Amino acid sequence: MILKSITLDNFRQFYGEHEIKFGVQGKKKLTLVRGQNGSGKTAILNAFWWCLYKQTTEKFKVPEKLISLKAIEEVEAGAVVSCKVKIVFDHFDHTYFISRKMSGKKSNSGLELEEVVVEPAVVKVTNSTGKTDSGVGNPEERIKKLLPEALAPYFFFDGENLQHMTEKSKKADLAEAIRLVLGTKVFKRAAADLKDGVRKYYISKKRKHGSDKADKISSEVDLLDEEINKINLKINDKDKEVAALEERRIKIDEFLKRNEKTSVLQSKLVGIRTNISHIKDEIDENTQHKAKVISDGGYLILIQEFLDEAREKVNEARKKGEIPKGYKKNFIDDLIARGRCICNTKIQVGELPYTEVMKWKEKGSYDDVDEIISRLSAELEKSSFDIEKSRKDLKLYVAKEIELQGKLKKAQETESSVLDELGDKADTLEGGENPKDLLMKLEEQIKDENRTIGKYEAEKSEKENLKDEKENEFKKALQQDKLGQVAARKFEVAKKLGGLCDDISILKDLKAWKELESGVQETFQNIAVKNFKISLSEDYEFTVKNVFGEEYVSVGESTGETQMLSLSFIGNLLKLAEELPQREDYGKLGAGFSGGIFPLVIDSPFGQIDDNYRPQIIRAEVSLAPQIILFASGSQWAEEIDEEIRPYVYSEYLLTYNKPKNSIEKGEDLLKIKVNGIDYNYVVPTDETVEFTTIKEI
Amino acid sequence: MNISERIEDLEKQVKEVFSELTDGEQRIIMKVLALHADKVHIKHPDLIESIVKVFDGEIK
Repeated sequence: MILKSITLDNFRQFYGEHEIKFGVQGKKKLTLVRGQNGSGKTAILNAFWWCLYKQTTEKFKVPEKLISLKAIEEVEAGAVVSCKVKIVFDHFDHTYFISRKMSGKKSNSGLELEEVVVEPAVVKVTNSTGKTDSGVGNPEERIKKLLPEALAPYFFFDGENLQHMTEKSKKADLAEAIRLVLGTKVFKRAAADLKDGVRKYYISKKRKHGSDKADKISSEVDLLDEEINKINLKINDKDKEVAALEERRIKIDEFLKRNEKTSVLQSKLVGIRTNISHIKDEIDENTQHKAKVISDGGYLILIQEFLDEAREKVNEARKKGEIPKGYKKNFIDDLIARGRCICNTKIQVGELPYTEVMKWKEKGSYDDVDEIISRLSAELEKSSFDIEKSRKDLKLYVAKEIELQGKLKKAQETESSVLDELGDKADTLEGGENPKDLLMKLEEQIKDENRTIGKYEAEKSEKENLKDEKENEFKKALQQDKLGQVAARKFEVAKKLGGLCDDISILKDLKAWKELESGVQETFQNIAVKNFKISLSEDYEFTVKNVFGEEYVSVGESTGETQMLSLSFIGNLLKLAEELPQREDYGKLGAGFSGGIFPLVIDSPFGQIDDNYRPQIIRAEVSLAPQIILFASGSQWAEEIDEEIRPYVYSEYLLTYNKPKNSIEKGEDLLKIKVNGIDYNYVVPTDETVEFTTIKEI
Repeated sequence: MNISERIEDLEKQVKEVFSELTDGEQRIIMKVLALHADKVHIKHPDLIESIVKVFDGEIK
């Protein structure tokens, strides 16, 4: 998607029709829209959202009032007035024209509207040969296939949100975005419909091919399903509660870090806690190694007594010369077959030499018996070696465990004393609480909630096992006549294919996880100044760590790093979306999203970031996307930033805020902006009674 | 088991299950996935009915 233009017609502050043209020409890929606060920058970002999805962003005030007040003022009461947004963009070989309109009737009371109607989007498409489809069916669905709504917040967003995008509480949204871009969602839905939908359909349509028993069992399965869903909801709620508690904990951490009296101690505490988590990871790893040694060679230690006895017996027999024998039965067999001994005596059946030779045969041994004994001896030697090795390894792991537990205890003691010191030095929070007490309370609550989640998980697993059993009973209950057998077969195949889809979705999730972690790490290192390590938990929780030797110090709470992390995530989403058409299964198993390139449209591109980080952020934003649209105010736009991005500017617009004269205070300084040495007015006085904004290319 | 080992294991498992599917079963899964790919963003009440039709066509 390369944006070509957006046209606003009586949309919010923008009275009349205004067009902003976008484009890409070589490295010129940036459109800069500048305006003071309140002049309509956020309105333009929301115009994109509203036109595409009939939605506006969270912070957009009074989203139901989209029609320009000046346009409403100009018409008589009872007249219909409307606003419209049109977006034009190229995507693959097509040009899309998407528009949406809202209209309402002016009421008798001032600037209010009644009978407000928001029309469905109209999508027109022109292909590379110039053929136009001027009324695409299912327009809303078509738009969501071009850019699913769950992905849009990463491409069209308010820079203030950057630092929150990769927060713990947003991990489900991150996972959803990644699943969408890689098509995993299709498999998840298919798995659910195959596993349960097909059975439910057969029962609900009364296509009974078995007995009433099948109906009864199916109802029991439904009941279990409901119970599992209820447990899932409970787990989700608890997850949210944990995320909220964690957010509170982070805020207290930030409070302590900001406060002069506690900032050093707080940093120390963060370091100790990261170290504790690191030690716990090491303990887990060590325990796994220990378990492996026990499962691989532990049995040898248990049967050592028998092995020793066997070894003794073999050695004894060897000493006595019983093994190996001086000659083999195979040798005697050869003599009998030849009919002559090595001393040239004839060996014939019934004669004395034959009887003597046969007696020798009885005392001899076979090659394979010797081989077995020789192999057994080697095995016994090897097991003796394995036992010794297992013992040594076990000793090492046990010693390591003791060492790590000691380290953990020491670190926890330090943590406790630092916490005590923090408690003494810290100012109280707004509610009068001591931050240390609150921190400890929150940690206890988090532990409690996690324990409850564990209990729910166990309940869920029990119900799922029961559901499996019931489903098997259901299948048997169907198999009573020929039709029943066919239905049972369909049910069985549906379940098998559902399981396969589940596995594929998990596989895709894992691959995406791996790809994402290394991708974000790489992008982060390319755009950030310092060397950081990004880690991603399996449930999509990011952490940024700074490496000091072996100690990991979390810097996740720093706004600069978190914004860079979010941008790195966005950069990877853009990359994955671009690569999607080249993927092996593209178009075969269906992704539901066609992928391709996408622009970044950002209001307040720096969010709340410190001045010294801004050039880095702008460099990152420009480097990640094939096209970029920025809405910025004068206060956000320093000279250094302007110099930095000037070579990338494709077009530049100014929003002029027309302020009613009667609302301008005496002596009020009307803001101006200097672009390329020319002064422009940000605010101009107007004789009109309502404010409005005009857009001008500069 | 780390992520790479789990991926390897699952990949093996998926390939094995897929290769053991009959032609009819393979056709069913492809058709069901295609149905979902088209409707992944919006809930379609007739989706299950379409899936059942796919099953009725392949298993008689």
